[in-house]
Amino acid sequence: MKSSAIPRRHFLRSTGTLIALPALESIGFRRFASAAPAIPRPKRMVFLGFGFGVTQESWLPDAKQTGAAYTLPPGLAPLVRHQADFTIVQGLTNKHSADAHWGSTYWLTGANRYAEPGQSMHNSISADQVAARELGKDTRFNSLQLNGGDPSLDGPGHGPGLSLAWDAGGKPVAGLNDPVVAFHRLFSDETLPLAQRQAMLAKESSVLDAVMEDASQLQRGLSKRDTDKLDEYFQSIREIEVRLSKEEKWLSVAKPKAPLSEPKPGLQGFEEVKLMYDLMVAALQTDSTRVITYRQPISTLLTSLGIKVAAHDMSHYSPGERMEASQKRDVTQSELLAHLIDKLKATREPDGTTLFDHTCLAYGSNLRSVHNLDNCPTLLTGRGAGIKLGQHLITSKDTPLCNAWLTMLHGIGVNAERHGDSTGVMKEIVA
Amino acid sequence: MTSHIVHRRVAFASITAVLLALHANLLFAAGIPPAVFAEKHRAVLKDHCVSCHGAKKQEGKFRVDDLPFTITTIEVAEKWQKVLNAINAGEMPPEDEKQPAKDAKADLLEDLSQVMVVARRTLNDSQGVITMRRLNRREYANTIRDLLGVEIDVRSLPADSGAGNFDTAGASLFMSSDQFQLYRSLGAKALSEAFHLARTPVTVKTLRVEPETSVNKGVEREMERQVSIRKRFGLWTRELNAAAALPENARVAAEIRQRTRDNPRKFYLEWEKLKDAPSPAGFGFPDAADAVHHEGQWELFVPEIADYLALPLVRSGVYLGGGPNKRSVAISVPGDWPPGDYRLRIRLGCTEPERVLLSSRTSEVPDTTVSIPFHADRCFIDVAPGGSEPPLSTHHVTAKVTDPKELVVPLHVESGGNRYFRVSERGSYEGRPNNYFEEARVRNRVGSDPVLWVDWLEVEGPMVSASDMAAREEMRSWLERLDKKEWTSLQFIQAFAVKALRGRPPAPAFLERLATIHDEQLRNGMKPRLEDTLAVVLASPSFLYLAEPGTDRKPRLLTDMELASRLSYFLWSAPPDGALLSLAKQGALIDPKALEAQTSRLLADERASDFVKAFAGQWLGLSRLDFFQFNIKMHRDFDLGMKEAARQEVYETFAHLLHHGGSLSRLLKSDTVVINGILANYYDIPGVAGDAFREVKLPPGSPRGGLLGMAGILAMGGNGEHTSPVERGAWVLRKLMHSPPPPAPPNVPMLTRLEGKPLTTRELIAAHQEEPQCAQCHRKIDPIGFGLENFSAAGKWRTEDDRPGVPANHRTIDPSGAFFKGETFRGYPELRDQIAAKPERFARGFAEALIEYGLGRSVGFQDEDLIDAMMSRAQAKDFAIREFVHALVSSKEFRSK
Repeated sequence: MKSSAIPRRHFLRSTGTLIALPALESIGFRRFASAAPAIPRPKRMVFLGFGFGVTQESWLPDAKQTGAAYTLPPGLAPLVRHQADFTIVQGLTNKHSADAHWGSTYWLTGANRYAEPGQSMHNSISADQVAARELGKDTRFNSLQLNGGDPSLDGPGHGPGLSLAWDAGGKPVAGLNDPVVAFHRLFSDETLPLAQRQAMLAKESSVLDAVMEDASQLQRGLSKRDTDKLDEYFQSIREIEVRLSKEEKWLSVAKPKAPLSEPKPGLQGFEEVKLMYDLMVAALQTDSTRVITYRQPISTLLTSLGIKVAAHDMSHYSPGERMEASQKRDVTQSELLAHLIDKLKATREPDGTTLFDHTCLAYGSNLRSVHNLDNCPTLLTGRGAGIKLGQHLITSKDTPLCNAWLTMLHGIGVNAERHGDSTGVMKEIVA
Repeated sequence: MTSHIVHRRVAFASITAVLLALHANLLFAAGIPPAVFAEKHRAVLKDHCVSCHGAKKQEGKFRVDDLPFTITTIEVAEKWQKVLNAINAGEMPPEDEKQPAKDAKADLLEDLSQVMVVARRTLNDSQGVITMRRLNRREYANTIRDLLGVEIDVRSLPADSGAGNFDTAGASLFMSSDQFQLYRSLGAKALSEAFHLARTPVTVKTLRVEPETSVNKGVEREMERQVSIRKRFGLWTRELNAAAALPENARVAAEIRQRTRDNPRKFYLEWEKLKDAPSPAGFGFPDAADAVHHEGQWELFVPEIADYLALPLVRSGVYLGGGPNKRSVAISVPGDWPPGDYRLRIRLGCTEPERVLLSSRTSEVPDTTVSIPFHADRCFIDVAPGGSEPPLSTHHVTAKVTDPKELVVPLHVESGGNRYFRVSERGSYEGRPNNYFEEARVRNRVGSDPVLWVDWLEVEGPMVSASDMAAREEMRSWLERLDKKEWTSLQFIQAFAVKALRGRPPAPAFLERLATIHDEQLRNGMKPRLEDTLAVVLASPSFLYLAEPGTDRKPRLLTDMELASRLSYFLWSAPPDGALLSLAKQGALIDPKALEAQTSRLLADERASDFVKAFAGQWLGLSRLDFFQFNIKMHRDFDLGMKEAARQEVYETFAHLLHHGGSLSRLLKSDTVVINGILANYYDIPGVAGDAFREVKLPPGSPRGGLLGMAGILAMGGNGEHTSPVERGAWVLRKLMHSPPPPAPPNVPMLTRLEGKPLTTRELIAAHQEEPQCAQCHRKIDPIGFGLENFSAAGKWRTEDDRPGVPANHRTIDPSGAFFKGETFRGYPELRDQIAAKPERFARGFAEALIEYGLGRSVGFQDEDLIDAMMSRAQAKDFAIREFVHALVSSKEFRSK
């Protein structure tokens, strides 16, 4: 791919005049917006992955009680006030998953690690990135990837990856590990005057031209495999270009005022997750992005709860100290999720509805518990995708987890034909 | 451009399809053995599967009868994986059907698991193709250091080791847009620092701190404060008690006393209920709670303070220690000293073992005479950054307090980084000294029991290495040319790019673009920063990737320049130095003798320590040491300092063998160890003092020597509290016996019936033998782990199991066992000897790991010849480690793209 810098630059420069203005209410014209004819509020999609699974004995509801009348098991008890507003689905599986320590790598992709001959690790696009193609068009950030600031995230539990997200080429998408950095990316404006920021963007564009030139030179004579590798570099630059062209679009639009104060640095575990949840609500509320994934911390969460058991040991629980640790983790995570749902319900949209009405959120992991990869724990909430809430459902055995993702995608208006190894939409979870 | 991409993608897709079809044939053409499931299992499948999954019934649309036993395609592999998963999960055969015999089932599962491993390796193997590799995090940092003479913090970059292979495997080294921006900002930061340092002349300064002037003054002030509190509290309560004794207060006072059960402190808290009672405010307390709280601390703090202030050398230095008044000393590198390497010098000594402390010089505690036990394991200090951070390093204090000596500790100060360094007794981060304090308090009622005394601390620096100095000097001369207008910006950029790209000339068009960045900013009225433009070079693919052009069809020999890079990144994780580059430029590196000589030279260089750490650490999986915290209460001596020493022992032993022509088999069994003071203390080996590692002959009967005797290796096989025979057994199979168990299978039902019962580790794990799904692997793994049970979770020798609840008469460890279908052993020494008796398999595993690390790709079946060649060359020299390295470097695989 020869980079023809001039057309691309031209594109960058010209887009400024073509774009639609961002939604008015996000820049403070709320009173006009309320008088205008009701425009449907945008859909949002959120994925929270906790990697290490759950304590199945006390997290999964009793299989004999399905439908709306089911008793919440202890692991979900803190969510009781929202019981009518979320659904637990049992029986979903990524059939290709066979790595018993990888709770996140294939969670949103459903890919087969061994699908490509000559490659010992293959992946494909994650559901959030499919959604971001549509939902990301009109927001400052196409999608937001967050990670726990847990040094052991790359180890067992979540598995390889840089966040929960994987791009169209099946390459890992990087995420932000630090809530303070995420805060500034979302809400801190450049203090420079507009002309200077335009000059900065021009400079960025020249920087990309330079490295693209070098990349094209380097590409000459490379083997196919190396060209593929270098393609990751091209892909990264292209992403920055898209981001820049977006930034240019948004140059005259100030970043929204942060609905929360700048976070304290160094929070870990419980407080860190809570803060990230608050940041996520703030990002959605200000319509900075409509797609968020969060690969949650685990080691630091345990530490913050005063649990001495190491995360990997905890996940291999059996009755005793390790199981207690695992259960305490479940309950704490449920408390945090309940807090997030509270916030989504309490955050008003300009038309009087709430964020909860327009968001669809999946909470789960590819690992059920210990080394089990079937019946992935799955909790769906939010009214954004028309999912039937307040239910405990058991799907037919071997239903692809990707069917749930496909259903969510359709629910928010992204009518993909399939996702991962999906076989179809799950009518039983559609309201 | 978009359409361009689409076309290329389509082209790729069709190539992929063709490759898919050709793949299986290619495999056989290359002489690669296919994955074959043993015929003997056909009967079990026929008896237990085919009636439902045969031609007639085809339940679940799945047939077993027509599954080929030779796996040549991914599709067939997937089907067998399904069979394996269903049996492992206990789903098949269904519960109400006839079940295969346990042994037959375990055998079938074991074989099928292994066949699947082979199938994955065959079908998903890279066929010896080396994927172009991005500099990993370590290499990036080293490359920047080599280029600019600046050390930068690269922790914001991804660690590059997520997928379970070496961090040199190009296929797993990804790139992202955020990473690109990180490279730019890290590069710009390094360049700013380099510019700054180049313009700053190096002046070595020293600064000394006499800690008694601050620390001991603080202790004295604290004593005065405590005395004042006590005095004021006494006055207040005397008046308060007098008020309580007044007749009009009798009823209320009695009521409070009864309710507070005659606890005077609680009584004082309710002073306001008494008429005419004095307010604590009149005695300098904000309120009663504060007064009671502070007075209550007297016993905790004061006796120790009084004792401390009476210690013999308190006028001229500071005693370190734990407890509520824990004491450490600190020094800061002044903010106007440049970032770089410094030397911390500490003059200190250990108290004498026979010292007798006359305890308690306060009137509150009766005097006692006690002799302090001498703790050799406390004669170590930690040097830590900031106030309560984990230590950076741990050091052996070998001088006596009667003859204190200077201990020298290297420090590093980063631009914008920490400048404050604290020296405390070892293990302070985990509270280890507090345990000694509490022990002493039981003995002497004071707690004071210091072992370390510090006279003074000094920082000296910056210390600039010759190579960093050369890099700075060059930068200085370049900047000078720019300042004097001898060079344009473009010329500067060009000179820098030429140097940064390791001998690959930068394309003119690239240089033009770089100049444009600079000029455009000028045009736009911005003040261009040269370092921002140069940072683009450090984020460009030519800098970030070790690119070697090639075709997909035929391997070609590397050019001299490429070979120089491959060699130096293999053995130094850093770019080639001048000597290597100039040889390459002359075209002399192609000569096998020159290549061998350079390999020896690189190995002997200090920079080879990067190879030792990165390779040995990843090969042996040492990162597991950081997966959990060690319980310092259970394993008192395994603090962070000891953990680092234990990790270091592995590296130092490997390096020692590498540099001295030592045999790889010495890692299996050895009558010497390579240790320093802290390890010798831990292993109870006399006569080893100081921080330097050295080879030491083992005393007779010592269980040490070889990897399995190392605390670091043993500590990985546990969870910081208890041992895990499974982890240990699997590690031995994987690393020492070249017989890795297949990866942990998903969905195997857990055995839980014995949990919570007070059983020994061995009894708990014996349950694995009950179910064939578990037994298939655990019958091989567990016995080896049992043989290592005489080592605690922190690698100390023990004879009793320490699992809680196990009755005392039931704790004796039984380390006997047998290798699966192999020799028996009575305990650890025999287990070790039997493993050491077969060094070939260990050597084979080592050779494979070395290939993977050195070539940056997985080992495949096509590598058999290479492995054999490495083995035979090494075997001729008693498996000397360096022979493996030479054999790999001289191979055509290493010299080809």
